Amino acid sequence: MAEARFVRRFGAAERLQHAVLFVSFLGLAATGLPLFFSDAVWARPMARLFGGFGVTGTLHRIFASLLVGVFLAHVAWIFTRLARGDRGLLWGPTSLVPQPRVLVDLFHHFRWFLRRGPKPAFGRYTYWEKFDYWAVFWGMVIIGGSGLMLWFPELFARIVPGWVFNVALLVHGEEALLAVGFIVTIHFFNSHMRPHKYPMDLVMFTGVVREDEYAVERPLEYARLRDEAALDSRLAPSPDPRFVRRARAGGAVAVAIRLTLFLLIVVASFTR
Amino acid sequence: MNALLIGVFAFFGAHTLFWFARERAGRDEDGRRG
Repeated sequence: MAEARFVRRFGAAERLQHAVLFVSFLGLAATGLPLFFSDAVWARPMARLFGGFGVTGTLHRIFASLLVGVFLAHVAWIFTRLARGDRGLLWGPTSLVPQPRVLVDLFHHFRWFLRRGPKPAFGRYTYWEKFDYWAVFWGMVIIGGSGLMLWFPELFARIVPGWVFNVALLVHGEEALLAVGFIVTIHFFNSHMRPHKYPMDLVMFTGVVREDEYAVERPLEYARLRDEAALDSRLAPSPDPRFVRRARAGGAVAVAIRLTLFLLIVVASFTR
Repeated sequence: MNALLIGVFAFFGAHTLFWFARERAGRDEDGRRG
């Protein structure tokens, strides 16, 4: 049997940024939930686990600094790529910018769900991946902005009236709950738990995907690479089995944290 | 805020359930497992 070939989908910079985002997000969720649901039955024991509510708050700010850091690094990385002439970032088949095609793909995907048409052919980034990507920007502005106001109230009180802090507290918690709820349910399902991906898709850890899978899942991108004679330059060695084992172990820990956070949200929501 | 929460989860929740059901049915045209 011929050995499977692999195509590189994500480079080291993208994987590293996702890894930092992933760790900081789970850290923020784990330390933010006992603060947001401080009246829930599990909040006090969970905060005690971290060293008390005070330490939980400090850890929350440390993870927030990590997230702000990776966000700024990502924006700088984007501008660097643009300065080097990578216009494909802004529009076209390799861009994460939503284009009219996302609505067409969404419509055809629903038609396929309902057995009313063939499965749509996706390119490098699908509409749900673009939503996930831009949701981070949206979240950074709303959750990050309100979080900084709550972290440095004396500084912001020089600029904004007092009632804005009440709004910031409300917005920070509700929007964070939306983000955590979305990531621990829908993002995890779409990326790892659906039947074609179960139990986990390691592409964001290894950076590579089997060529035959890529051709089926991303036929437009695969055809583009082939037509532009760029496929050979994207072929990559199979991932190191030791790294794959470590990635699986890390993924399993993340799934356990995800399930725990989801259950805590459910318990808090129904026992308040 | 609640409307946004409900709207996002209602849309993506339905999207996820439909998607799961379609892949689970194992009638994917690409012939893979599911």
